[in-house]
Amino acid sequence: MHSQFNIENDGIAILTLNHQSHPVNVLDEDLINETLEHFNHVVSNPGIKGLIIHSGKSSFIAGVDLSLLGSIDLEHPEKFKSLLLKVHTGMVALEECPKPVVCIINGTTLGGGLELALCANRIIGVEGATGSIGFPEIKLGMFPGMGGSVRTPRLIGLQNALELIFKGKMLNLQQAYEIGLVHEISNDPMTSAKKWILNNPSVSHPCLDEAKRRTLSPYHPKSNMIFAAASHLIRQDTWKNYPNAQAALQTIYETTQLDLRPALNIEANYFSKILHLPSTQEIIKTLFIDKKRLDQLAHSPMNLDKHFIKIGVVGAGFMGSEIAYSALSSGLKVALIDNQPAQLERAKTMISDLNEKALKHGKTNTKTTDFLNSLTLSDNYDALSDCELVIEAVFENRSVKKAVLGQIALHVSHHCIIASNTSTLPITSLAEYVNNPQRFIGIHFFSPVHKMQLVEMIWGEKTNDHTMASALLLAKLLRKTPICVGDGRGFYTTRVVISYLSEGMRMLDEGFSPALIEHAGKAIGMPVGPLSLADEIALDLALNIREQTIQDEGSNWHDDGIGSVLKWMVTTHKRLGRKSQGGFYDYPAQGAKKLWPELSHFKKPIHQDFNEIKERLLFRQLVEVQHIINAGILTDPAQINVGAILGFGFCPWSGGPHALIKSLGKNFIEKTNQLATKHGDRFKVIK
Amino acid sequence: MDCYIIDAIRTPRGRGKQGGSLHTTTSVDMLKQLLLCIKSRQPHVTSASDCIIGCVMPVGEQGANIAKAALLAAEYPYAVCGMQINRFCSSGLDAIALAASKIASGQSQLMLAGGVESMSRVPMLSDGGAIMVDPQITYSEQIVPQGISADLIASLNNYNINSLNQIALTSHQRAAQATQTGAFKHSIIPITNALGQVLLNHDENIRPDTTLDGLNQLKPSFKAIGQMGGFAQSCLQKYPELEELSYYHTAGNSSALADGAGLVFLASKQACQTLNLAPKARILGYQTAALDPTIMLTAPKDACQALLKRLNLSIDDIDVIELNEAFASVVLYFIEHMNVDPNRINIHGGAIAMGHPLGATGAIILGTAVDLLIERNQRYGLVSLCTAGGMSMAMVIENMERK
Repeated sequence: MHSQFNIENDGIAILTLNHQSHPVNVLDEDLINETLEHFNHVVSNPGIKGLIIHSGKSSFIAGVDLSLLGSIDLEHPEKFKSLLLKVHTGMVALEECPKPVVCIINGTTLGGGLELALCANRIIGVEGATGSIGFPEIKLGMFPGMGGSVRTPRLIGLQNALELIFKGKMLNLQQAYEIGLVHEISNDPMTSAKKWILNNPSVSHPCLDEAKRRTLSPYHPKSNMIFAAASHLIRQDTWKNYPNAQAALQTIYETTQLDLRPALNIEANYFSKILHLPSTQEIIKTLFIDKKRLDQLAHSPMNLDKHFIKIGVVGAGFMGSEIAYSALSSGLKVALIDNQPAQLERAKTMISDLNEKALKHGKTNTKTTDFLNSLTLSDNYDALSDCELVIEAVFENRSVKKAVLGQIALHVSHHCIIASNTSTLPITSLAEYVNNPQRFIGIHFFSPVHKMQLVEMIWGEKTNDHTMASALLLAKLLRKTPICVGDGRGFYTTRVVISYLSEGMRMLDEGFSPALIEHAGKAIGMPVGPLSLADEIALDLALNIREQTIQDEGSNWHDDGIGSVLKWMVTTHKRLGRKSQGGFYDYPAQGAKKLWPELSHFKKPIHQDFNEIKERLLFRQLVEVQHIINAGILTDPAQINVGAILGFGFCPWSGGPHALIKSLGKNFIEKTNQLATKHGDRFKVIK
Repeated sequence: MDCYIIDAIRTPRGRGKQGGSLHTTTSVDMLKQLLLCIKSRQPHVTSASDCIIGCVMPVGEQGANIAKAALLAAEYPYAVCGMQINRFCSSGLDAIALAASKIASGQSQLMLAGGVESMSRVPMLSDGGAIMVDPQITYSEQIVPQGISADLIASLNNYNINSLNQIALTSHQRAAQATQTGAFKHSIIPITNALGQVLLNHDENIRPDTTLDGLNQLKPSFKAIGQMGGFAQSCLQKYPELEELSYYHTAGNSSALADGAGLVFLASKQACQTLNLAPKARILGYQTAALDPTIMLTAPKDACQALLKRLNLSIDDIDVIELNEAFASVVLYFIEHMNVDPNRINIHGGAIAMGHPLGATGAIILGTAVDLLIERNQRYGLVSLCTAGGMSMAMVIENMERK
C-alpha cells in the first residue's frame, strides 16, 4: 500500500500519498491504481462529504515514474492510450461529482503530480514549502499527457498555460499562487481544507465550465491571436526539431474546442503517439534514465564513503569564483587563492551577488554573511593545508598551470586530491607537475558553473580509482552530473565543440554566407550558431589554443583549415569576440548583435546549399564523437549522450550523438564517406 | 474565349473604418445599389442565370451567401441565382473568371459577377479559419501575417524604403489625377442612404498632398507583431540566407482598409447578337498560380507569365496592367521580375491610394482596366492580384471598342 485512506467523523475522507518504495512520491502503476480506487470510493459512497488529498512525505509528487514510460511497447500506442483513458475515467468521475475535493501541496509538485492536483476543486499550498511546481515534460520529449494540456488552459488561461507547458518553467509556491494554479497558501492547510469543504458542500469543477472554455477556442476573438502567434513563438525556439512541441500545441488547439471528455481523448491520442516515437524514447533514456544513473554515480570505479568538508580553489577569476560559489552553496568550506588581492575582492563581490540572487529567487535560505563565513580568501597557499581537494582554475596556459600546480603540491597534505579545471590540456602532461600523480585528476566545470549541470572528470594516465571516485562524490555533492572521460586533447566535450566551431569557420572561409552558417547551426538543434559560439569563447583564445596544439602535436598535426580566418579576425582586425565588443558579430550597446558586415570579405560565388551546411555542422560533430569512441576516450553511450546534451547543448531532440549515430545505422558511414569525398578526410571515420 | 464584358461598375471606396463614409451602409446594401444601377443601365441583367460574388469575410452580414441576399434585396427575379466564393484578395476576379467559364462552356448566356467587402463592418479575421491558427498548417508552413510577407520580399530583394515609398507616392498622385480628370466617372456609382442622400461619390482615401518626406517618416507597421508574435524568426527558418527581417512597410505604403463593391455584366457572343448588347471588352483568358505561402505575395508573376505564354502574348504586348497594390514591395517585385515599364502599371493609381476592399478589389480593378483601354484606345489589359496562402490570379482582356 502506497496510500492511506481514512474517513473522518465529519464525513471528510483523507487520502495520504506515501509511496513505500521511493523516497519521494512518484506515480507508478500501483499508486495510480490505488488513487483511482479511492476516487471511485469517494464518488460512490454517500457517506463521504468531500476529499482531501495530501502527501505523507516532505514533498507532494515528483511526477510519473518515467522508467514506466521508457519501457513501453513501441508497436502499440493504442494500448497505452487505453491505460490513459482508464485514468481519465476515474479523474473525470471525481470532477463531475459535486463533492468538494481539496489537494494540499507541500513542496515539489511536478508533471503527473500536478496533473493529479488539477482535478481537485481547490489547491492549497503549505506556507513555507519549497520545491518546484510545473511541467518538465517538454524538455524530456513529451508534454503533459495526463490531462495537463487540457486542464491547465481551462484553469489558468491560455497565456499562462502556454508558458508553463512550453517553457517547462518551474514555479515556486508564490508564483503558482499568483497565476491562480494554487488557490490559497495556508500555515494550517488541513484546517483550511476542511473549512473550505464544509463551507462548499456542493461544487462544480471549473474544468467543466464549457462556456468559459469556449473563450479559449482558437476561434474566439480573445484567443485567436494567441494561437496565430503560438506556432511561431514555439517554432522560433525549436526549428521544427521537436515533434512533442508541435503535438502539444495541436492538442491545445483541438481540445480548447471540445468539452472535457472528448478533449481528454484527443490529448491521449497525441500523447500516446509522441511517447511511442523512437526519438522520444531516446530523449527519455538519455535525459532521465541515464542521467539519473550518472547522478547516482553508477559509473564510479569504486564505492567510497567520503565526506568533504573543505576544498580549495586556486585562481579567483570568473571560473574560480563560480566553482567556489557552487561549493559554498553545497555547504562546503572553501579556500580561494589568488596572488592578486584585487582579484580576490572581485571574487567576493561576485560570490555575494550570486547568493543574493539565489535568495531573491527563493532558491536558498542562507544569508550571504553566513555564506561568506565559510569562505577563506587568501594570496597565501598555506590556506590550502586542510583542504581535501584543490582545483586550479588559472589561465589556460601550460607554464602558468605548471607554476601553480607546483605550489599547490607543496602546500597541501599528501592525500589531498589535486585537480585541474583545464578544458584542453592533456591531464597526463599536467600530472607531471605534482608529486603523487595518482591523486591528480581533471575536473572540467562548464561556465557558468551555477547553471551548467555537467562536469567532465578526466582520467590522467596515473589517476587512481580512489581519486576518481572522490571527484565523482564531489560532483554529486555539488548536484552536478559527472561523466568520466579518458585523457586526450580537448577530452570529450571541448573536442566536439571545436569540431563544430571549426567547420563553421571553415565554411565561412570557403565563401558560404555567414547568416546561412549561423542559421544552419540552430536548424540542426544547436543552441547557437558556430560563429556566435566562437565569439563567446573568444577568438584570440581559440587562436592561442590552436597554436599551443600545433606546437604540442608537432608532426601529428592535421590542418584544421581555420588558421587564415582566425588570423584575419584576430591579428589583422583585432576582433576578439564578444569581450572586445566585436568578433564575427558586432555588439551594439542597444539592440541585438549583428553579423559584422566586413565578413563579406570571405564571400565567394559558390552554390549556397543550406542542407549541405547543416549536414557538415552535424556530421563533423558525429564523426568527432566516433573518433573519441574509437580512441577509447569515452565509450559508454550513456555518458556520451548525457555529456553532449548537458555540456554543450548538442541537439537534444536526438537523445545525444551516440543515439543519433545508432539510429542512422549504416547511413552514418555512407553519409560520412560521401562528405569525406567531397570535403576532406576530417569526415572519414577512422577505425 | 467566348465571353464579353458588357458593363463594369463599382462603388466608390470608403475608408474601411468607423468614420469612413460607407461605414453606415451595410455590405448587402452596397451590392444592392450596384445591382439596381446595373439593372437600369442594362435591363437584360434580370435574365442572368447566376450572380457570383467574391467576399473574403463571409460571416455576419456578409455570411450565408451574400450574393443571393443582395439579389433578393434588389428585387431581382427569383430565377437569378446567387453564389459567394472566397480566394482571399482575388475573390472578385475569381468570381468573374468563374462566371466567364460558365459562359464560355455554353452553360450560361448572361452572368453577373463581382465582389463586395465592408472592412469597417466585418473586420479582417472575423471568419477565423484554420489556415491562420491550426498548428498542423501554421507550424509546418510558417503562415505569417501579409505585412510580414511583404517585408520579407523587401528584405530578400534589398529594396530600400525610398523606392517603396515612391510606389506609394505615385499611387496617390495618379489616383488624385484620375479622380480630378473624371477618369472613373462612368464606373463609380455614388452610394446613398435611405433618404437618397449621397454618402460618397469618390474614392475617399486618396491624399493628393502626400510627399515622399511624409511617407519616409511613418513608422513600420509590422515590427511589433513580427517580433512579439515570433513571425519574423519563424519565416527566417524558410529563408535562412537572411540574417534578420527588416521592416519597410508602413500604413503609407501598404494598401488601405476600405469598404466597397464591384459588379460586372458578362454575356456570350450569341447573347450579344440576339440581345444587341455592345461589349466593352472580351475576356481572353485567366490563370491561377501558387507558391510558398510564407513569402505569399510573389505569385502574380507566375500567374501572368503562364497566362501570357498560353495566350501567345508577351508582356510587351500588354498596354495596361492593373496589379493590386497590396503592398509596395509586391509592385516593385512584379516590375523588376516581369521587366515592365512602371508607366504601364496602375496608371490610375491603386489600392495604396484608394484602398483594398478585399473581396471587391478584383472586380474593381478589372473595371479600371476596361475603362483605361477604352480611354486610351489600346488593345490588351492584364489584371492580377496576389492572395493569402501564396496564391495569385491573373486575367487578360481585349478592348472591343478600339477604333
